[in-house]
Amino acid sequence: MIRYLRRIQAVIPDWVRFFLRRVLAAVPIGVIVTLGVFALVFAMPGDPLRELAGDKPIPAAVLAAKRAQYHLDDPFIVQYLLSMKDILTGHFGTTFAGGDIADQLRLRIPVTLKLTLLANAVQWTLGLFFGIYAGFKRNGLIDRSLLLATLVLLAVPGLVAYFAAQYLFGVQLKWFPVSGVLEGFPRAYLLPALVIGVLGFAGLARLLRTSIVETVNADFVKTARAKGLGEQRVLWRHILPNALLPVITFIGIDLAGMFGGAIITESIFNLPGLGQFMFQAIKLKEGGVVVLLSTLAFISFIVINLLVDLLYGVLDPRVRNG
Amino acid sequence: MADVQSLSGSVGAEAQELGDGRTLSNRELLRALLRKPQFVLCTLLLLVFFTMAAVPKLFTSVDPRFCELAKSRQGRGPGHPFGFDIQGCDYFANVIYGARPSVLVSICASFGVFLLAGSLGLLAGYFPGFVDGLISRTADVLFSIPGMVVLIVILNSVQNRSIWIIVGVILLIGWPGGMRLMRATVFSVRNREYVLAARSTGVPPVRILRKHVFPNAMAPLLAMTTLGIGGMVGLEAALTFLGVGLQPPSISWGSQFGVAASYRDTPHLFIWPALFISTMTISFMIIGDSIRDALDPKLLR
Repeated sequence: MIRYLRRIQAVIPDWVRFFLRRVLAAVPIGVIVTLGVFALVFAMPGDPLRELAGDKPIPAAVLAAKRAQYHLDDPFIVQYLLSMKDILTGHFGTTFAGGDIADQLRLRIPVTLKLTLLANAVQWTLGLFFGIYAGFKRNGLIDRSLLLATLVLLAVPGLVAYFAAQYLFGVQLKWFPVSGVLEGFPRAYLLPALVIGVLGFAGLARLLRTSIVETVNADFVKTARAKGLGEQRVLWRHILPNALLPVITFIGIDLAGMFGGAIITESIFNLPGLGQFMFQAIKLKEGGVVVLLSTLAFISFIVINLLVDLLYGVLDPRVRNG
Repeated sequence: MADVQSLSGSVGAEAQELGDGRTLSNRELLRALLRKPQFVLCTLLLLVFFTMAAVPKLFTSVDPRFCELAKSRQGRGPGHPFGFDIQGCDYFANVIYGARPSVLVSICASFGVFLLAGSLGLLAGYFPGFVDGLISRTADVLFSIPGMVVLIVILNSVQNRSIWIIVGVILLIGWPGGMRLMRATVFSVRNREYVLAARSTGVPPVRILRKHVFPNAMAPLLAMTTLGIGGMVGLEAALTFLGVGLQPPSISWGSQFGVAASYRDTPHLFIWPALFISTMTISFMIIGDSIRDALDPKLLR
């Protein structure tokens, strides 16, 4: 039996094995995460359906039917399992207010994705450019002003920056729409994405700068120069791949935090994305929706981490061969 | 991003380098810091904020809850340098009284996270196997959900939210980043000669951890914590703005932002608390940056 398994193992390529191991390791964490979030929502005081109805009394029969529809009378663990079954089979059902959750997701996922991608494009462009420039021209004028500027950018609370930008560029100068998505893809998303990107690039640029300064003085770079490699080859083959390693870890952590940040940005700029959906669902105590969105966030977290590790393997021979 | 975890992640990566190298004595550290003018200036600014939080009456004799609706949203006038808020209360007094929750939450939460992340990291790094597994797996779980979601879900279910409840929930989810940093540093310290010597002479583990491992492994976490205090100020404001932080009768900068957001034609409602909160977070950041520079072994050479 064991010999048989070994033979199968030998046939499976390394990357598939790596992939399978990571997915299997994620399953128990996923169960704990969803169970924990569901328990937290379950423990919230108050009856969600009563609050939805406001002051008007609901007929007992309607209430009973609604409670049965959302399994609200079942014990905790049954409710959790039913929710998970719905999520895994793709039957998302409706919100308490009657909206189709699958439709909501179809509308909202693109909003959050557009915002995140645009913000990351800004952050990466600025971060890579200034980080690399400052790293190679250490103690120059740009480097010094960058250090000061990034310190301020890292320190300003997001809330202050969002409001200030909204007021200055939206209300006063009217360069961008103040809030909402009525004006379509690039225009409506530009302002929030620019603010998120500019706030976020500070950390990236600083990290890249430090990393480049360290790599340029590393022994393997001196060796490469000593054996007579051209400057271009030293830069592209030896310095940059190594200097980018800590940056990739940072990007992974940063992307994973995007969902939490989306709750704040989407509520300030009134963008109907997943963060806003999550916030409304928590306020209305819709356990099913909260767990569904947490599952989505968890899956994207696992996928991002997987991609980061794969990228790490591409860049770092020690990881690839070890 | 106002997310605690991403915040600790980004400064953690920079602070990671401080693990080995010679350590400064406290007096040397203080002397190095006092030589920097920006450090002295920011410390003085923070002292002003701390006094503001402790005894707001020193700065204003006006009662922030004395309001005349007729003066709602008026601009500045004699005796009222910041004008009035929507209820017609003196805005200067309100901004001054708003310092207390920000200072309390940020300092208590940061200190608490430092202690919690520090002790859990010590345990995880020094006792590999079951203890490490338990702590590290718990951290993995907390890392894989957005911290903001947990914060909102828990705080939303609490009826009367006080500063201490907010601090408690931040503690609950804020420790994994610091714990990982501490654990990594402890790994690099646990087999040094002085630890081995202490262990071989039969010093009990708790004493080894307290006297030998912790003092030599705390620098990166300290740098990360001081760099993160400003983020805590922003986090408290964001929670209050979202309606899951402090509640109306208490005065805070976060709730002032919430009000200002719906009255855009009177920008002074936004500008003053924004100015105060930014000065405070930037001061914390510059102090953290100076401490990190002073602790950095590469700059000692």
